[in-house]
Amino acid sequence: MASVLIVDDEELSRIAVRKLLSRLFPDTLVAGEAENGRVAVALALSLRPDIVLMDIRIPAMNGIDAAVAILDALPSTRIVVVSAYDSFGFAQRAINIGVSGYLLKPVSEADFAAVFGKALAEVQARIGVAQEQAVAPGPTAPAGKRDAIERAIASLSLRELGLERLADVLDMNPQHLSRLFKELFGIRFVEYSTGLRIDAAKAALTDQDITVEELCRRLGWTDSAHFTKVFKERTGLTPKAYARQIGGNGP
Amino acid sequence: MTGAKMDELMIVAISRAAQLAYVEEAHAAFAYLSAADRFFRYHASTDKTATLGEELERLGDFAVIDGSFSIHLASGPVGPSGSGSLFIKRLSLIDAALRLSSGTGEGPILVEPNVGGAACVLSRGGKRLPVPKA
Repeated sequence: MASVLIVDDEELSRIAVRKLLSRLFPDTLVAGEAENGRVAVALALSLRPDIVLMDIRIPAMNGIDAAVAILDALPSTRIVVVSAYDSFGFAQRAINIGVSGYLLKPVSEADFAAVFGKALAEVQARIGVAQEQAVAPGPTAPAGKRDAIERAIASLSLRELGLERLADVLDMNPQHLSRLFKELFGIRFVEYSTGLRIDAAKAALTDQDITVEELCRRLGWTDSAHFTKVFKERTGLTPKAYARQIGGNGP
Repeated sequence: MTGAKMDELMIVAISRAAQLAYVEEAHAAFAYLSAADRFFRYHASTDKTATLGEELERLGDFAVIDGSFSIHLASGPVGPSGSGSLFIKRLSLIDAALRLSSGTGEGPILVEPNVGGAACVLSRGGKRLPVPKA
């Protein structure tokens, strides 16, 4: 399942995009939403979405600069610009940095299906290659296996990331994947995925008015008390204290 | 407020109204507001020229907004590979259609692309208006 990050400072636009996704691409998962460019970059780095739907005129950091930062760190992520502004300058800059498509608001279903569908097809092709690499018969270099696992992880949202789901994507036995993961990464899968979730939580707490319960829901963490305990073990602070310390509006 | 600022405000307002219509599943309102959005963007552009194909699309949007006349395209491809790639003065086709839409008979305005030396000719009720190439 491809994961999507929606970046737009207007709630109405985010709702419209979510509706387009649910009507036209119900198998995609909205992994997160950001209201400004800085949060968009932080969330992208922690959630590692397959596709980012990016507005251009957004606070803190404009959408073009945010897209550059995301593509630098996550070159396989696809960026689709969704903007109310049809200036040639914006479109030219977007093309030059390598965005996958440019949609003008209000977005029609036909346009969204064509442009987002193209980006999604590219993502699905990449996931298919990752799966092939992971299950290829014969000797495979450890670096290749590790890369395939990382790419498969990147194809999942944090909400759905788990050993069994990852094994399913890689078409492997979960026990075998667990042993292989420890061998390649030096830590257990659960420790690795917990690290990703804590990083994502820290990013979300920097700039979002978000409750611990909502944070847990987004991260796929079922027990908020357990989440708070693990967060404190890893950061030395509770989520609330962490949000206060970095000056956000957190829980 | 300057004219450019007012244009921008108008475009943003229509764009948001169209998104709201989509969210509320008011499909006819979404189609109408999307046509208005495209037309006002086009009207606000500072470009002096347009292709015939582009202008015909916006004329279609204008007919939807205005609601008092319809367009009948005579024949021939009007895409990028056809006569639609001819350049004309921006809004000249729409201005011609507006002149024909008031008091020149009933029925749709007939649009004949690439007639003689003109980019196209519009006719209605026996009156014909050529639209020159740019």
